[in-house]
Amino acid sequence: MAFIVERPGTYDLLVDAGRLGWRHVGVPVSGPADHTAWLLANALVGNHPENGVALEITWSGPVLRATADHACALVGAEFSPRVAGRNVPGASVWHVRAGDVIEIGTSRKGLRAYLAVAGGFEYAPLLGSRSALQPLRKGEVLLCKPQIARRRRWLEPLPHAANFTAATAVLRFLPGPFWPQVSEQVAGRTWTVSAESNRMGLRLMADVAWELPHDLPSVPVGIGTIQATASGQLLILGVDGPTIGGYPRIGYVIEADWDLLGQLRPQQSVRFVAVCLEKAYQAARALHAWRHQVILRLLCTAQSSPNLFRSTG
Amino acid sequence: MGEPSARNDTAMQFEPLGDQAVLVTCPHEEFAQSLASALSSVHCEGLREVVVAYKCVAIYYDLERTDYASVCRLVQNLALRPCSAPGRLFRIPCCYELGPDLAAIAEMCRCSVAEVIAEHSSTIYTVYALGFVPGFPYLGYLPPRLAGIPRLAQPRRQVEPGSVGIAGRQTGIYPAAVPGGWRILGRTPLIIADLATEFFPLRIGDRVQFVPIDRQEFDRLLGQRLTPCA
Repeated sequence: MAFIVERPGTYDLLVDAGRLGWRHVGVPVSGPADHTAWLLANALVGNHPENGVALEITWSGPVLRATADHACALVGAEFSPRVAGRNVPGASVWHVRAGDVIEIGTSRKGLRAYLAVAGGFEYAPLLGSRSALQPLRKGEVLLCKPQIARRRRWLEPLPHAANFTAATAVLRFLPGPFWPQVSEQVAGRTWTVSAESNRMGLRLMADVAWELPHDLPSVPVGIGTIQATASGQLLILGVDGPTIGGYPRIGYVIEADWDLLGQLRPQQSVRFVAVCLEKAYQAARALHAWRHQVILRLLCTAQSSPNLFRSTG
Repeated sequence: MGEPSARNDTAMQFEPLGDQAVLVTCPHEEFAQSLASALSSVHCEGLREVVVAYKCVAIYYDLERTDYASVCRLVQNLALRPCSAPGRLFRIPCCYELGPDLAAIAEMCRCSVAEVIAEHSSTIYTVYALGFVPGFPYLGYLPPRLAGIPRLAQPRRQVEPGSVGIAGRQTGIYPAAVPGGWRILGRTPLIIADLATEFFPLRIGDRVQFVPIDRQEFDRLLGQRLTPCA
């Protein structure tokens, strides 16, 4: 009824939908950096997203050992997971047996993937959320309630997959108050994701310099807020980012591209495209509709096969 | 005593804070707090969270259930009242001998260490914002003599939990051991916020006064939780 962490990965974090309602005391929303991938992983194994705790894996994944039979799915960036030494396909449900070792490997394209287990990982809630504050450590035991789920495969690509696997990712944004001062330097350039990026924020570099006010009063900010630093970098706030900030705000990445923010890896090229609020709404609503459709198609059919845990081999 | 909506309209500035929040800039801090309190008692479809920082109020909304124009209209039509009662008062013990930058601050302010302590602890501050890290209170405003101290050029990798710092016109308290760029003039022994136990006693609009204590008192109070004055 558990997985044991034999070797932790770069940053393995248990996440649920997020910690809503505590920004007013400075607690970030947290939750998955790529919400759509997290949701699809949960839905594939039959977990309702409202209570689905999955493992967010970044860059290089962990090695886990199962202590019981479980059904799992890995969705998001392109990893090459192996169970008991055999390759298992991505975006599909596979079964592990007690004692099996699961090696997630390293992502070839994109940065993060979500390992969901049918029944969900157990984690004590904090401020109404089961998103962890610390990554996994060696020897940690991840308890889960075993639940059956049939083998199946999801063939449709994630809505943002073509963008994070492209040579240059395109981020759509709404211009902010300091956009006019930097528009020429930001819009015409290709930006590079810095290795100093994490769940708090994505740092982007280009060869620019600008004169912007500093010591601005702190204002509330949010996921996707693009701040310009004095040294000519851009800092796009992530799911664990600060709730208030005092850097000049040049724009806001639209919600439909937040998942993409969670998949951009160091050295990746990024371009910015300005959109209007109406376009941002349309894109977000289309994404929500896609997610809704995933839930409808997958949730009620997750357990419909009687041949669970039958060996394939 | 609700003000006519036309006055709300001219007094506030609106801008989108991304595609799911409205940022309202108010004429002053108390106005922002009144707006936040009015929003907390109004039921409106699609409103998610309200965050105040100084004169600004961010209203986070669900774009499937409402939109920017509707939220702006709601705010314009709210009847705002001045905050009826001032926030609760917290007296926070502060051991100034544990402030690594106290002497440097005195030098920059061109006064004695005793004067810095007297000035810092005689002012009653208001919580204008909470954030940067969970539960970090931004307290304002410093008496003119202590105001205008720049941040450290090189932030500390880690400050002691409970460190009391100043920067610009603000003073603040680090709830936990995190990197910090404010100059530290003392340390409180109390726990002022703790995510792991869901402890966030301070709210926007609360008032704070620092009470100088010695090292012995610091050790006696270390690890106790902050509570408001009765």
